[in-house]
Amino acid sequence: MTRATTRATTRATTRATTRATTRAMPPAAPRRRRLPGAAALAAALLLGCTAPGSEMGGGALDNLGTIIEAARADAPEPLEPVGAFPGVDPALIAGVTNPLIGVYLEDSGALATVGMPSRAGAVTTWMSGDSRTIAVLDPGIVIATRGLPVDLHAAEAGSVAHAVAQRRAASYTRDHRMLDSTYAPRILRLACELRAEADETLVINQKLRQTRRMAEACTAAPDGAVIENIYWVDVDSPIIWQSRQWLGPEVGAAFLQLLVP
Amino acid sequence: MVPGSRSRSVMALALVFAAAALPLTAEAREPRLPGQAPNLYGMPGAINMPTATAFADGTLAFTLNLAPDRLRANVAFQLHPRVTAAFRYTGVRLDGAPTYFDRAFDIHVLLAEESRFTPALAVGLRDFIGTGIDSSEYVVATKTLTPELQVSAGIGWGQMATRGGFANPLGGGFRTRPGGFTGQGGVLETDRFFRGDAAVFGAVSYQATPRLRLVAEYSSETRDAMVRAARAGGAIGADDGRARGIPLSFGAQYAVSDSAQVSAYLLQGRDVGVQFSLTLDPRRTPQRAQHPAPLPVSIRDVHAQAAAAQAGAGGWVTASAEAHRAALARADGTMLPLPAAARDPLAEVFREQGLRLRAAQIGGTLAGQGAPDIVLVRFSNTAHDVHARAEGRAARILAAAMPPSVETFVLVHAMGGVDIASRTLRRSDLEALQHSPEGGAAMRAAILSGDGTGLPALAPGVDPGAGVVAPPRLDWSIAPYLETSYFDPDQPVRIDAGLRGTLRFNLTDRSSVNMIVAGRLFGNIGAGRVISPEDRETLEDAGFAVVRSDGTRFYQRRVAIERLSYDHLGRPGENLYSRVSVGYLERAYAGVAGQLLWAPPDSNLALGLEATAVTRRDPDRLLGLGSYSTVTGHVSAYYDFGNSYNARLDVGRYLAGDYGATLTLEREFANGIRVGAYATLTNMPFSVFGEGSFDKGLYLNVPFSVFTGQPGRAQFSTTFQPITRDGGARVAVGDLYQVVREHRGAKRAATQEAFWQ
Repeated sequence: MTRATTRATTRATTRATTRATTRAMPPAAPRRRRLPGAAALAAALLLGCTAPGSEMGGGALDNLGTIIEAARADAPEPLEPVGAFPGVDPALIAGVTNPLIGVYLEDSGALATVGMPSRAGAVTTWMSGDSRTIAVLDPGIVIATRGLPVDLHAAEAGSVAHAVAQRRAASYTRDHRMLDSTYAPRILRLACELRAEADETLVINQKLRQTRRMAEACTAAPDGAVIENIYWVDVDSPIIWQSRQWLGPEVGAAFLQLLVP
Repeated sequence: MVPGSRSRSVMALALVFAAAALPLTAEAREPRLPGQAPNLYGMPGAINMPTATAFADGTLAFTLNLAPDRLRANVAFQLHPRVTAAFRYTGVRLDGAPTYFDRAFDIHVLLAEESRFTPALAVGLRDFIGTGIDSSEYVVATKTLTPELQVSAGIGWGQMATRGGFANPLGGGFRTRPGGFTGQGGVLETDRFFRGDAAVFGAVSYQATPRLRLVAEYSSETRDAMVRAARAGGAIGADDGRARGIPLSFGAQYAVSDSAQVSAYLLQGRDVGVQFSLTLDPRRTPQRAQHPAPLPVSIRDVHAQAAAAQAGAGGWVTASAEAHRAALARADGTMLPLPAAARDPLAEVFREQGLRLRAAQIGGTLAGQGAPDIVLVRFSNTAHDVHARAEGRAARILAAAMPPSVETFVLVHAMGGVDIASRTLRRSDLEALQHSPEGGAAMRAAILSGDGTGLPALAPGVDPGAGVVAPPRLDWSIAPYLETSYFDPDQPVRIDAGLRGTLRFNLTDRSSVNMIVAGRLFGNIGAGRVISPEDRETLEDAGFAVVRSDGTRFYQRRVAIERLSYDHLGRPGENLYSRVSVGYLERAYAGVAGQLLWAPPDSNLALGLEATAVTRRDPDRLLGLGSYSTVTGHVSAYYDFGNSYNARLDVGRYLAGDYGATLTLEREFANGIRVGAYATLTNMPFSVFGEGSFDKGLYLNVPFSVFTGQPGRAQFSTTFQPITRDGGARVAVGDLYQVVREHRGAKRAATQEAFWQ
């Protein structure tokens, strides 16, 4: 199991989520994933062999309670991250012309650059080489992730997106939806205050970006947790160049940079 | 679960602990103890005594505790927000005597929840069936004084009144508590409830930190009293004068993770005990499925979208069932197999997404154009714990792969060549709803569910086999197995381990020959106890046969053919499913078995009809048959009450020649965790049935993905059947309902969010 960071952490959730890639679309060829520790023990007891192209386990006998279905996980193996972040080795992405974002998960230390955006209305979904996705609502609010240890299932974020795009103070409620282990949504209602803090000039991927720093402070119901997000919005156009956004209680906050718009 | 079969499981319970330890400790913040951790009986309580608390609804709590003279393994389940039930297995060793094993059931009911001024109130029965070494009843009240401090006080009877007992306040008729047990045991000993002396107990718990809780209790029991009484067969309830130690016990509970706890206790001033517990609260555990992300839904060009939607008639978004039916009818007789050049890459993407594509067809026509407007795919879900996720992924693949003119997607769940269920949806809905916070419910409402019949047919003259990705004719697998048998009086857990080979030869789309061979590498199930000659005589004199109580004989051979049969799965009509099996059906029986099931996808009710004509196999020969032949048959009704509760009733003739009914009550969570209990009453008298009086048991089914977060459909399932006897036994040939249950309405509603996962 790859541990993706220099950061000390006691948790086992680390998984490099994403990685620099400019390759064309389809997901990386699946590889077998090694299971960690005790789970591997359980899996080892179950893993058997099957005929190539076997339907065993998906077939009629499956429900006769007689077959042990091998725990065959054709999931891609997480890949090593590239360099430190922010400050991905500029040489590595200097020639990249396709859109690219950098993502750093603060709690786990997972780090990556993610490309291959696909657009659906005002939402851009970025996909990594190891098939993790992050969906971002214009001008840059994360509304869903897929493939993280615990995903942000969906978010209602129209209010914050509108206010951030206008670079003005606002107060509103929005919500984050995670799923519990029974697929029931856990809705975290966030009561938020957004305010402009200062203008800052950032250097992102060797380019200067004039931004206004917007701070969003939210209180989450039901548990009263306090969440702080920061957006660095372009002073002239509705583009978030850089942000720190809280994704959920398990994954924590993500730091994002728009490396190649 | 097959009632009457031997207790068996794929994995030992211990592995549940092992497998759970790692992923469940992966918390992003400091672990916390659950609001209520299990006591030494695995129930809501302090140390040995109960408190008027409950686990979070749906919690499954496994506990294992050790003290110098005893070991207890408990499984408790919060089956309703106010009702906790537990099954326990205890081994006690006193005064150097041989270990005494006992099985017990507990039930605990929260009568009133705590309010600002009044305490919570609970009543409970501990070890209330059968021989009852811990047999006791109690009423207890609990009040939370500060967020950290909780106090409880209660009154107990039975074992809970073996220290400091006083005359029963309930009055004369309750003053004496009968000892022993009724008949063959295994029945409610109601004439004992709340009888005999009573005594008071109390407890205090203090939450020192989120991870640490300290507990102290004043106990009203002398731990050994009941064991001695049960062994001596004597009357119980009074202090036997052997009370040792002090009535106070102290303990500390510590959260290793959000779901795992370890506790240490100083019991009655003399013994040290430790407990390991795993408390799985489904609501508190986040969904951790570590699947690669699905493909983003590709959005078509706006004009293509509008044209396709309009030509498809009906609304823009959220098509009605009528519109779906019209689209299906229009496409009938127009479907053409997708050419191999298009199908093979599609099959490859399906495979990467954990699906196996069997066939893909396109058809229908847009008004005035030749472009197809409907696509139908037959596939099976090989990797996703719930089918809604598989459907969402299939739809996303089609959105990426199909030309813009295709507006209707028909997703057909196929098992071999048999269509089990279908989902019809509009591509426009998929495009519109993918990022909607309410997308789960909206998408489910926009999907037309079917039973897999009445789908658009191929164009005239097209070979039905064309374009089908046929599975290999010969298919096999070899996997290790672990089989367990519980509660043998000589050895509580017996285990066999070895390799199991499965071979399938597909004759047609719907029929196959199947063979399963188990080769034992080591184990001792075969050495298990069988029915005594006296009990056999009683049974046979009453006109019944020995059918399961000597079942361990079938585990004596090193190599056993567990199945060698011809199997046919069919769809005789709308909402009807059928199965016929002929041959060696299980370790102990060979013959013919047939089942017919009526299961409309959106009905809460399903009905089944099953019949078998079987001959007992010869345990000493690989393929030999014995002399006992019989016919069994059942009518079954399955009902889903919603909100995760369901029930099943089977009425008919059982293997030993007895007639009766089995009632099964189950709670099934959306992620596939199922906890159920069953009981079978037949015309076999309790005295003939023998120890336990009638067949009953608990079962538990947990998908591995719940623990590992890894994609997969493998499951851990086990049945705790306290005593395997001959009454209420059935042939373990499989149940067609298990084929359709995951496709039914209640399950789809519960897993609707997974469509977008």
